[in-house]
Amino acid sequence: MIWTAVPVVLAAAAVLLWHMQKPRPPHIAVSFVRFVPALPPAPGGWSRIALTIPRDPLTLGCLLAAAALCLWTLFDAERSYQATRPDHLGLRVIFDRSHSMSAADGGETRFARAFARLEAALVALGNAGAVGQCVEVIGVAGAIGAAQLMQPGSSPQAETLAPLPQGGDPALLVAAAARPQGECALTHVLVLTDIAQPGGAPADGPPWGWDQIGAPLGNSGLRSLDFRPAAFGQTSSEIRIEGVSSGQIPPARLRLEGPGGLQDLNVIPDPDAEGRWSALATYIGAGDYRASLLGGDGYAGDDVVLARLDRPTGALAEWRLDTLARPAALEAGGPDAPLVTQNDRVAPDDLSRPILITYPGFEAGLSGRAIGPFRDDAVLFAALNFDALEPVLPLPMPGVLPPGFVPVLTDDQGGTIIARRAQPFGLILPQPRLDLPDPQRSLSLALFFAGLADLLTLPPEPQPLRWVTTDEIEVSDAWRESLTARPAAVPADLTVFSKTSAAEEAMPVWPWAVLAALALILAERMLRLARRAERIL
Amino acid sequence: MTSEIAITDPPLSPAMLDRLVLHWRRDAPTLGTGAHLRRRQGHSLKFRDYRAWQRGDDIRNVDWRASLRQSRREDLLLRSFEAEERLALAIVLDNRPAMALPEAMPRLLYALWAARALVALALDKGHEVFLAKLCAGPGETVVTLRGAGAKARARIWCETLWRQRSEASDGFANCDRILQKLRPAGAVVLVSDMLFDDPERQMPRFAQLAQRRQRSLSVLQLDSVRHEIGLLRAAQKFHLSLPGQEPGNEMHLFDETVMLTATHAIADHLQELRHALHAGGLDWPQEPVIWPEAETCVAAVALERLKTHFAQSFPRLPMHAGLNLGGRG
Repeated sequence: MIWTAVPVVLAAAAVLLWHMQKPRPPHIAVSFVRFVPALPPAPGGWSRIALTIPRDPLTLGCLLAAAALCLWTLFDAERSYQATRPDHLGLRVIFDRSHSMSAADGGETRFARAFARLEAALVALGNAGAVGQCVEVIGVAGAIGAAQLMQPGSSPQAETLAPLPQGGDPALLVAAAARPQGECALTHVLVLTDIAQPGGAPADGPPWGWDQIGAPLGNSGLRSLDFRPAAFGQTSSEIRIEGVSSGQIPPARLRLEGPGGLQDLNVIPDPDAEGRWSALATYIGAGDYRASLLGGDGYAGDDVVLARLDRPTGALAEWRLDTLARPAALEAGGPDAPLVTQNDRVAPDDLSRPILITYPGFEAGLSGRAIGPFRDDAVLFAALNFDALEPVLPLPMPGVLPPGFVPVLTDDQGGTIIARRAQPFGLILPQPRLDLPDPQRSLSLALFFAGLADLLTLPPEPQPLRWVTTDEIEVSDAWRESLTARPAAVPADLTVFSKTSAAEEAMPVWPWAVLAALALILAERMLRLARRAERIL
Repeated sequence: MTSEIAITDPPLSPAMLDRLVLHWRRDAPTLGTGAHLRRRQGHSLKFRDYRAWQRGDDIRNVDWRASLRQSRREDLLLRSFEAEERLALAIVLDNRPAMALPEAMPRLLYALWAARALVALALDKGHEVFLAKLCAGPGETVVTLRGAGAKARARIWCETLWRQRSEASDGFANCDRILQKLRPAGAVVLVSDMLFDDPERQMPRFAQLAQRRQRSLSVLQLDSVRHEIGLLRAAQKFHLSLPGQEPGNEMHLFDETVMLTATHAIADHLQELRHALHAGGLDWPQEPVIWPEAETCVAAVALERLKTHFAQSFPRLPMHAGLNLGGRG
């Protein structure tokens, strides 16, 4: 750098000397010279350079200021260059290998686009001029893959980053990006994915570039399949299929293929959640079911699900009542089915299963007792009239309530008439009595069947699903890939690699100094032109 | 070509030139009938005087009203009119190389402007004009101007003189030839700084001849001595050179005393010359045309200053004895 400054200093000195020149004595011819006696000669002759006030201080000032600015520019540019040129660049590339990266996006797969961005990033990294650099590539699909440390100058292998038949998870991408650094000292993190960035970059650590690949693609996908067992009074079980839609696509058309044949299902949009929909199908019987979305859309990996169901079509119960026969709508169940029993037939193991326990409560004649404290129970009390019940109030359950049961209805003497357990489901009710007159008979039957219906109303059972492509390739958690119509984000800025890895540098001042120097030189030229026009006579 | 502006075109507006009129002395020689009115009896329309009617006078010129006012009826008064006669004007320009000084405001240029203006005024009145160079040099020494195309010839002659100003010599031209041309002229105007070296005394002889036969010699003296001293004073140190010669290497220092001595010497020279030229018809005003003070300014501005100086000084030239300029007749 010093050799660059030397010419500037020499030029400034030359300019100074030039302006320190004295003007040459003029040659003057006079018309009356023959009348002029001998003039005295000038003493000491004439020297070219004199340490006096420069003959044109304004132009000299312009040039010297320009030279000083150039010198300062040299030093400032050197500083800026050293500040903006990183010593080391360490790039971690999080490459999304989830199955949606195989989606065709404008004639090119998202994977191809992401791979091109990766190559562009590596080129930008190489052009940054860092002294040392390292690149770490981590593929992420259903799990975080192993980090691949790339040698400087080498190209990534497309096969190692090809999409996997797995659903992606933004949290995994974030977790992979935030992993502690290994051999490669990180300065930048670049995430190449088709998923929108969840939240912002972390405050600490190297800066992130979240490069979202791909344009929005409308898509419908299957999300879940639930088995809804038949309840008391319901003749058959059902299959409920849920799905999601995103983007501008026609309504989904769903077909279910099972042991009983094909069912074209009506898709019902969910009024409470935009983009969600559901469909109900009749459960024919145990077997393999295949739900398929008809028609193409943005992503095909979530259009077909497979489920194997082995549940019975009707309601089951184990019946141990002597006072009332098992209703015809109920099938006899085994140890896995809900239990309806008298209290004197309850084994200790029975308490661990859904159970309805009856005890002899209703009797003929008036009870003479009043209803005591009770807690509201909409299911049981919906069909019950307390004014009719109180005169013939059943006797309380003898003995101590089984573990987990809490009283629902008591008499005024503190005896428990009805008790309930939340988990597993349990009810204690007075026995149904067909042999009593009304209103005891009707009250006992209404209370019992309300409890029985409650016992047999089982919640839907989500079924394990397998998503498969049209090529019968299974895609795990393909539902995570369904939202392919997410808005496209701005591509990541790959020029960040040419900047310092530390904080953003302020714009250097030296270009302005160069501009000022040029302006000063221009001013000097203008002044000199003006001087030439005003040449002293 | 004539539409282009030449450097010797006098910087006077046409209106100013139109206002200027040449006035001649009454006894100036004439060239016969012409456009100029003389104080001699003639047949112009301009009234001159009354005189007593004499036998032989044209009775039509009797002023009967004036005659009735006479004491005796037989005394008739006759109206006489001035004569229209053509005069001759000779303009002699000092073309020494020294006249090209000062460089920024050359006196020769002023002299050429004055000559062109006088030529235009004289030709407009139908007079005959002679342009002559005082010193020898290339080109015609004397040119006679009359009739159509005279102004154009005057312009060409002056432009040639300006372009060849550095080729003139300090020696006088053939004065006899000038005098031959000047013979019929009524007035001679010499434009010069009057600082020429005349060891053979040719100028006094020329002046005396020019003033013969009731002719007049008007001197238009151009004085730039103070202006040039001002230039030397501003420089303080300078190489002094002779007009038209290469400057020497010797460097001089300005000295007021020396300049005062030179000024006195110039005054003595002019006094002596004035005495030598006097022969009855000399019109050399005491106040010459003095150059403005020297100033540091742009060359173009200096030329404009000279033009302004000419436009202001030329109409007021104190040439009263034989040739008057300025005012309407």
